[in-house]
Amino acid sequence: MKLLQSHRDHRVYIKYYIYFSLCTLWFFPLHAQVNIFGYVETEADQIQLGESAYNFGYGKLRLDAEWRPWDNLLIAGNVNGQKYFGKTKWNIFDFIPEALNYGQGELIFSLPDTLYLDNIFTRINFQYLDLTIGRQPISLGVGYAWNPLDVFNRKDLLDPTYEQPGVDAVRLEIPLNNRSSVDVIIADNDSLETGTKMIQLKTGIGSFDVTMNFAQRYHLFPYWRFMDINATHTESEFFGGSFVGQIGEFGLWCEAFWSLDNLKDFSEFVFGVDHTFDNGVYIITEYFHNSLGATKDELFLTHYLNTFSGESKSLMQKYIFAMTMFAFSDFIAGSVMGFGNLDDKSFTIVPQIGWSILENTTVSVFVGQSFGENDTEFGIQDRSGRIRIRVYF
Amino acid sequence: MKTFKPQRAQRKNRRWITLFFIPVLSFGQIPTGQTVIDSMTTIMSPENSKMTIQQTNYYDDRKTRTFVLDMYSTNKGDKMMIRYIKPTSVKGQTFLLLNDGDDIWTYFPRTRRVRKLASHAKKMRVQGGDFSFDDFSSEGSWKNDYITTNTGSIEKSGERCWVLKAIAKENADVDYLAVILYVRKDNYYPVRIEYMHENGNPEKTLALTDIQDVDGFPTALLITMVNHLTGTKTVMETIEISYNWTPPNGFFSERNLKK
Repeated sequence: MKLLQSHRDHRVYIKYYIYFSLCTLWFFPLHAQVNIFGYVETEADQIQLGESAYNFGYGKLRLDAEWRPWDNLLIAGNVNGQKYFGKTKWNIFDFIPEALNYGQGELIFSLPDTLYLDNIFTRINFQYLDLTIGRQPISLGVGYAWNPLDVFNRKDLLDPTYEQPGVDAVRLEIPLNNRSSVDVIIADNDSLETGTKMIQLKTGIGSFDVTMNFAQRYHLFPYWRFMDINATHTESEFFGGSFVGQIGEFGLWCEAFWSLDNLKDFSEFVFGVDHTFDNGVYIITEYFHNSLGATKDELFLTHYLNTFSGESKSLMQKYIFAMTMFAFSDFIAGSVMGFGNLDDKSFTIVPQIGWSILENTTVSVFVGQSFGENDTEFGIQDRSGRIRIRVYF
Repeated sequence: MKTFKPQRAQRKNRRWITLFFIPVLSFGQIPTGQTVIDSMTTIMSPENSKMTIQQTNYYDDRKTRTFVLDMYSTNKGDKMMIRYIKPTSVKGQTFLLLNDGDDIWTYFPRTRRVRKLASHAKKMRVQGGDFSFDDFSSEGSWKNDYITTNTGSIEKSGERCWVLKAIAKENADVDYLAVILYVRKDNYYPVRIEYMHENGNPEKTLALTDIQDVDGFPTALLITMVNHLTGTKTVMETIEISYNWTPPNGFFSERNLKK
């Protein structure tokens, strides 16, 4: 059955490739309205794990095509090619405390060079609704570092604003008035039954934007067996909501998402505050709680595996994120970002410099330093560094 | 897109503006600062506008950055949308400002994400230039946040101008405690605005040049902001403009932000 599914997936991808190639190579050039743009990004990283330092990185080409044959129709897509260099095979157990992996074995994952269709979608604007079909970017929620409501993506704490992979979905957005809308998203999994479905009602109350969300999806839940804890995927219904606005000079937001099934202990919420001072210095902080995460006394290998695989949005339950940004000059901006696991008391501080060398060229450099015991989430890594260059065309 | 020459149908607006000034001019007295500000605000606040602007930032080391943006406004600037067209690095990035800039949403095209910003984001510099989002907000701040005195007239930029000194009201939420405005006597359009530093010297100077009649409203097609503290300069050059544009229903909405 798995094999069949796999073959079907491949067929779908091949179909996408053919469709996109035909569009870009043959059809698009015949129409002057087609916009071709994108960027080239190269990144070099180093990470220090105990006594060992590893170098790795990638070169990436993103090629976007957008075509608007009519005002109310958009056909868009992008192909990403990514070539890795340096260390491309990693042992997951290097990132897990020895006490949990029992000091044995290897669990290797590798980063092969890739060429993939990241997005390909059609968006039609009708008078009373907008319909988007295909692999499309979907980004929900009001949080900066975490988005409990975004059941389609998971953010990287080191780079929360980086673009997310496309989601195969049908999306229906129905505006009710200038600040109110209904948003229906049906994301394909294996079938309609097992796919993720979400409805979002959004409105404005004073200076606040408020949403109510209802979702149905297969989600990872822990269940107990004798002398063991494990997890399984079970369908559940979820309820959530968010608000974003300001009180006085401070921006405030909150986002929460929980299971409607009392037997399933699942809830996530994030609360954040930000402010810009008169001199342009910007500060932001967020607190995140995930009931699916482990507690300090009950941390198992499966928690790590679920986190690495993206099934859980965090390893443990309580986290904090903070960042300040300021401009050194007209072209150089600096920021200091910090995030920490409040359960195991491990933290990472990341000073970063962003330099706009040319109109379409940016360079960013960061050095990360972790603090905490060697058996903690962030303390297991010592230092990290990254340089990234992106050139838009 | 309309050219900058007034058309027959647009002369009605001009007549209306002229009538507005008659009470001020007929007395033959020096108008009060508040009267001049009221007149200036009126001629600078068309009901709707749609324009394409080229923003060039000049830096002290002779580097430049050039951006092209579409700007739309309605209700005398109370609602505004700014959409970047060039360069590619910011293409499609869009800002929606409602309630005179107190509510701001921004849209990032690569992630198709809309984020609501708190009003303090108005203090941010627009694409590294010398303008902030607050500078794009409606002209109401002159009336509401400052007490203005007319100190007399001089010749500035080849025009006879009233010189107004605006002092911020107590507890007003403004960036500058004092501002000096040079407002043309013939049509009440400002040609120069000096934003004063606490040391008594201008911190920034705004020069409004190439003033032409657009759809019945005098309009500066070249606006230059010089920051005397940093030595930088930002020039906003109008490429296309129309005040006769009527926004479609729901134009200033989150839905249109994502289009």
